[in-house]
Amino acid sequence: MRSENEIRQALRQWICACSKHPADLTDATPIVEQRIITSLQVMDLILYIERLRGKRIEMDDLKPGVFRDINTIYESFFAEVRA
Amino acid sequence: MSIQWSSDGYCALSGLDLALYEQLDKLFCSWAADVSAVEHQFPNLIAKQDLDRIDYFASFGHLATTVEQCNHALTPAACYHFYSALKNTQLDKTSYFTTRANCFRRESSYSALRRQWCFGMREIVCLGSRSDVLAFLDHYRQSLAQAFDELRLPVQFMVATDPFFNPEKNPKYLMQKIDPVKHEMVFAGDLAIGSMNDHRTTFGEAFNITLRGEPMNSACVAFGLERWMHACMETHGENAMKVITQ
Repeated sequence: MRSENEIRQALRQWICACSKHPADLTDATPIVEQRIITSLQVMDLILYIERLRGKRIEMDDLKPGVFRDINTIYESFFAEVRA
Repeated sequence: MSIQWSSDGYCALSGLDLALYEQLDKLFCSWAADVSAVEHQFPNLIAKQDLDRIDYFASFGHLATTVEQCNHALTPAACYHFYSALKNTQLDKTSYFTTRANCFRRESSYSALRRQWCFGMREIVCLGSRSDVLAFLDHYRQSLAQAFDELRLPVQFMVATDPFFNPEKNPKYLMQKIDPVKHEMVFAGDLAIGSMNDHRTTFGEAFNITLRGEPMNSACVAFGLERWMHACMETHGENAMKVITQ
């Protein structure tokens, strides 16, 4: 099972690679508000998170703010799985 | 009989009901005056190629009413005409507009005043900078909340998502779930009588409308006239007109 640091690093690398965003992305950067992740990339991000955590994301799990930044993505989709 | 309803999804109004409809629109226009919105009138038709710019048929094709003989559709939302009219325009400042349109959305079932194929929509629209759009939405969120209290209407703002076709596979639907840009004015916990929509740069990019070299931001506040009639009559009965004009 990946560590928290490994998961966060993987998310940062994916977002930087897919959005072509400069490497100053932090875990608190608002990736949706700043349109670092576009609507076309949201589905791909969901699929990536599912592969990373080994569990499907249900439609009910998609609530306002769950993809706000890497911190909230980790808390929303990984903290419970690791517990 | 001042509401003549067709089960095909539309109604004809006259007498006191028409008077209420027009009075409600006067009320909405008075709200539009807050931002000195400039009144416009558009036809009931919009070019299909303009709706294609925003992938309307891919997202909401099930709602569209197309005209067989020409490359047009009946207007699905009043504000679309502004973006169509301003395509390839460079704005020099934030602008505010308003219009009332007959709108057309095919639904699975219809109910007089509550869910109609053809219905009236009044919109107040802001086109311009991000900060002006946010200020516009903030102004109407506060002023409408106050208006609902003064009109004694049980209406609350709630996060909404549009009725996309095949939503689970539509990226725009997913984006609305995680970053809500649409809030509805919901009457009695049941009926959306209006909405506030933050389009960000969606229409600016789709129609190449810029402000200072960047795609313009836009937002709209929309009121469904027949649904407002329903809300007012349900709440105030025969006194609906008196409450609206006080």
